Amino acid sequence: MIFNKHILMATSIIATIATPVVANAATGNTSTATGAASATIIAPLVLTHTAAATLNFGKFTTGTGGAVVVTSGGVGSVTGDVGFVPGSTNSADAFGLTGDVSRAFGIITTAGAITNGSSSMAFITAPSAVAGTTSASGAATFTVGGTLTVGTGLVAGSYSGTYTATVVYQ
Amino acid sequence: MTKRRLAALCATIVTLSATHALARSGDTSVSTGSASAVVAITTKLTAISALQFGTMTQPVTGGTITISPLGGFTTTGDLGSATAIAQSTPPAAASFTVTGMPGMLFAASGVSQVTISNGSAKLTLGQFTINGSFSGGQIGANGSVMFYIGGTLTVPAGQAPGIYAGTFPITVTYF
Repeated sequence: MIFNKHILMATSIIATIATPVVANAATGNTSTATGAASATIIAPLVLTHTAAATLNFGKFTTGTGGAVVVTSGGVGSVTGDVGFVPGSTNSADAFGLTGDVSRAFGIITTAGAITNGSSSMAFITAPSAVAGTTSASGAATFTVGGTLTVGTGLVAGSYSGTYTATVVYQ
Repeated sequence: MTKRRLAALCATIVTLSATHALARSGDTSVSTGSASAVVAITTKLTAISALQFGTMTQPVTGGTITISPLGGFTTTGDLGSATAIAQSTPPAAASFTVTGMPGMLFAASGVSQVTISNGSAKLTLGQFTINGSFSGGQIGANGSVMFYIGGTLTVPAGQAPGIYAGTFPITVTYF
């Protein structure tokens, strides 16, 4: 009897050992690995018109018409019969933008018109660059010049208008 | 106790003897049975490359970007324009290699979704797909095969900029 009990116990021990061995063998049917996933979200471009900046074509007489050209550096010149009057000043428009660091972007500026009542003059714009790259701190600036077409029979007075500037990541 | 055991033992011997006798009493036919076993090579899954969603501008209205295990990606919402930027790390499906018994079929499975994070900001990644049309594969003649995992990342409007990273488990099982 005692001998039998020992055998039984021994059998039990074998069974106990055998069970995890069987379980281990079954795991060979299955294997799990961990995949990595990544995504990068960058700061949006935020374009801001520089306060008080404006594309200023100056003060001029039209004569028989012509054009006023203001470079993106703010230097004005006239063509045709247009003439600046004493005290006239010119300036380029200016924008600042923030976004991702060291990332390329494109600049698009539209044409527009300045009006005084029903009197109107059309202009086209020219940004200082058609593309740029944000700084290491994620900022950039650019200026906008343009060419104003001056007709005849225009009402004397102050003309104003707007155009649109757009920046887009490249 | 001992007597009963003895009785049982005797009964067994009697039974055995009878069987023995029966076997000898008729025509004898001997046939060789067959026994076989195959010790299978343990399957092993290894992650090779990451599931990369690339770089996107912070979306204004939000959307999803889905990477196909077959290559390429699709977007919804304004993730289309958000991802139309220069990519230093282009979107790519994850790749895994499974090794084991040549020719064995295996099933691949994962979880429904995980989150990838950047600090406290999180994004939900789910709808994992393997090879587009089926949920498993077959180990090649050389004992290994590579498969790809795609998934869908949901990016809400105004999600905080940053580099998001996380992990997802994939399990393969012989079948």
